[in-house]
Parts: sequence; C-alpha cells; structure tokens
Amino acid sequence: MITMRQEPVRQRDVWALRLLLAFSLLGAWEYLAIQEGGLFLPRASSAFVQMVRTLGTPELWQAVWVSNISILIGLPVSLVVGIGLGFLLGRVRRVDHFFGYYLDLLMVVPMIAVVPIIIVALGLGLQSRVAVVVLFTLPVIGMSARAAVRVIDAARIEMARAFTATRLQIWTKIILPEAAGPIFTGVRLGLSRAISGMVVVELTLIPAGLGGLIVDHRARFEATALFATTLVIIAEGILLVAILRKVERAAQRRLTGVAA
Amino acid sequence: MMRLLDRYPQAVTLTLLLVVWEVAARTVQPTWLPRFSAVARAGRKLAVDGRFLELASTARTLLVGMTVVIIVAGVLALAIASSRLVEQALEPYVNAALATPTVALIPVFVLLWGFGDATRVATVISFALFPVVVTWAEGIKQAPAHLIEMARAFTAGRRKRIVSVVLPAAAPLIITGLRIGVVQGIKGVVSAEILIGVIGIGRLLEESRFILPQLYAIVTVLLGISVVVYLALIGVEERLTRRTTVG
Repeated sequence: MITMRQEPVRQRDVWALRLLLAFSLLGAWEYLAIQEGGLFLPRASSAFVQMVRTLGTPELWQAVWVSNISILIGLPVSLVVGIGLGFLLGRVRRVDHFFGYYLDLLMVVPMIAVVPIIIVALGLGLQSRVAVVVLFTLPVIGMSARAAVRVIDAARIEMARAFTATRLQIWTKIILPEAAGPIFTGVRLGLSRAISGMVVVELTLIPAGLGGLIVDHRARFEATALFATTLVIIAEGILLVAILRKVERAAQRRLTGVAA
Repeated sequence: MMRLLDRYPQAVTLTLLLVVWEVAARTVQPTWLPRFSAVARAGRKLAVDGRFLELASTARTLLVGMTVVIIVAGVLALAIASSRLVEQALEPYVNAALATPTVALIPVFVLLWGFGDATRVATVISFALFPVVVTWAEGIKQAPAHLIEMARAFTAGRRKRIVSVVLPAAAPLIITGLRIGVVQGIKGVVSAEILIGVIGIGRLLEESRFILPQLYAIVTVLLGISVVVYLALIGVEERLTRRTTVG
C-alpha cells in the first residue's frame, strides 16, 4: 500500500486491462515474427492455429498419453511415500532432528543434475522417467505434509487425550482435517513439478512422448510445430494446476465449513 | 558421545549416508554406484585440471539473469502492490506463469537464440521472475498503512515513501524473494546447460556420461554448491529478520 487503495475496482476495468495486456503481448509477438520472417520465430497466430490443429491429431494424444504415464505412476508413489514421510518427520521429533533438514535441502537443489545418474542406474525406459518424476515431486509433497502436521494445536490434542481419545481418533478427528489444506497445496506444487520432471527427462536422454516430439521438431527445424507442442505442454500445466486449485478450494470449504 | 550426536544431527546423517554409500559400493557393488573414495579422487582431478572453472561462466550467466529479474520483478511488484486494478488484472497471468512448466520453454529459447548466453539468461529469467514478483508484492503490501499515512502527512513524496517506509518494512520478504529467485535461477541455468548439452555443466556431464566417478563428482559438487548458496542466503535472511523485528 504505497498509495491509498480504498476504492473498489470495477470489473470492467480489470477485464479491459487484461485484454489490453493479452493483445499487446500477442501483438508484439506477431510483429516480431513478421519482422524476423518467421524462420525461427513463427507468428503467434500460426503457432496457435497449429496448436489447435495438432490437438486434432492422434499422434499428439498418443504423445500426451506416453508422457503422462510417468506422472500417472510417479505422482501416486510420491503421494504415498511423501505424505508418509512428512507425517513421520512432522510428528516424531527424533527422526525429524536427523532427516528433516535434508528433505528441505532436496527441495532447493537442481534435481535435473541427478537425471544422468538415474539413467545409468535404471536405463532408458519408463522406470527412469517415473523415478525422475518421483524425485521432482517427493520433496515438496513431503515438506508440505511435514509442515501441515507440525503446527497442529497441542492444546487440542491434549484435550482430546483428556477425553480418552485414542491415537487413531486424534489423527482422524484433529490432525488430518487440519492438515488437509497445506497437504493439498503441496500436492498442487508437486503436480506442477511433476510436469517439469516429465518433460526434462524426455528432452534430455529419453526422447519419448511430448518431449520426444519437441526433439523431433527441433531436428527438422519445424519452428511452428515446436512452438505448438510447447504450447500444449504449457497448457497441460496450467490446466491441471487450475483444476487442482478448484478441488483444493472445494475440499477446504467442506473440511472447515466456511467459504475459503 | 550421545550429546555430541544430538548436537550435530545433520553431520551424523551425512556421515551415515557416506558410510552406507561406501559399504554398499564395496559389498553389493551395484554397477551404477562407484565408491565414494573413487568419486572424491575424480573430483580432485577435475579440480586440479581446472575443468570446474567451467562453472564460472555458469555463475556469470546466473548473475546477469538475476540482475534482470531483480529489476523487472521490482517494477512489477511495485505496480501490483500499489494498484488493486493492476493486481486483479495481472492475477490470472501470474498464476498461469507460476503453473507453467518452464523447462519446456528451453527448446524454444534454443531455437530463437542458439546455444549462447541469451538462451541461458532467458531460462534464468523464466524460472525466477514470477516467484520473486509474487513474494515481493506480498512484502510491499505488508508495509503498515499508518506509517505510510504519517510519511504522507510529513509531506514525503512517493519516492521518499517507498525508500524510507515501504522498503524497510518489506526487507525480510524482499530477501526471502531473492532467495527463492536465486534457487530458481540456479535450477534454470543448470537446466538450460544440461538441455543444451554443449556448454558449462551440460558439457561436463555429457563428457563424463560413461565415466561414473566423474559423473558423480560433478553432480555432487553441483548439488553442494546450490546447497551452500541456499544456506548462505538463509543466513543473511535470518540476520536481517532479527534486526528488523527486534530493532
């Protein structure tokens, strides 16, 4: 608040500014592409048209499926292991004392550097792709779960204990409902990293799926197709995260009983 | 002895990891796991023949990219924090940018700018910009309104208000944003070099794809450097937060 900001903003203005921004960005892209001749930078319009066109081809959906298998397997693995690990670290001080620190560090290191080692260990197949997705997602999911069960109000647990609640009841009635929100956030962050992990491995050493398509386009200098495929990957990321955000809000409303 | 172990839990875990590594490499001997001692030797050799100097260009790229990020993020964060209209209008774009798997942009950058510095700098920016913007905007918004009002009452101009009220109040989150940005920037520059494959770390890794101890040495050093940078930034952050909250 650098200036006074009391006045409510009119929705019309917000949308006007949004559209203006979108048009000027796309317009600048279009203009630069025309200037450049479209050899390396295709026009915005042709990139989007090409994207829509490829969305109608079976090859693209085949690639989307092949790529996403690694997420479909890897993300559940990360969820189970990550949340389990997070609960353990969050509720058992002794363990956290020795390992919590490293989980935190795993979140900040460039995991992509580990990809070559994974490939040496697991080969050039699906196993490696799944392993990379797990490696990209596990730390963030684990850290969120750890943080989520850590901050639970000790007084409430104490009270539940005084009313002879069992360990299971304490978990299901107090800890889990309160922890659900932050865990969901962790899952959302995990998902967007999962897509990065999925693409990284396909772009570097195992050219399959969408990453494989991009590698092909690059080899054949098909600029428009490369842009279109990239747009598809980005769209997948934005779409999945948006869906998860919706689910997250709905779940939060149900758990807390108030509009979040 | 127990007390000593409790005092340095991180060191205990690290030692344990290294011991397990060495024992596994000597007894089970998985083909993908060289001995730690061999990795250390390979690392020393790389250090001696100066091939780690390749990392200097990586660091320079990171520095250039982060400078751009700081400037652009500063402008954007100020705009978002000072106008509700801008904030609401930008919201979907910022969310989309945060959800974008930025590694996917690297092939596009390569297509546009080849294997040079521009590609790496662009990757650093694409990785770091929006996380920094969001954190900084949050920090600036936290500046207490009554202080700004008072500054205004004392006829402080806009620039003066920003420099002497808003920025000090936002300092802890500004440093946090910087830390997030640097972490993201490191991921970006490393990703770009690995995807490009012929410069910096990418080339080092490519050269040692079949020389396991060397591969492990490079990866270990890389992870080590990013951890050290992260811890240093956390240290600065803690010191600064303490000063602003106590003083």
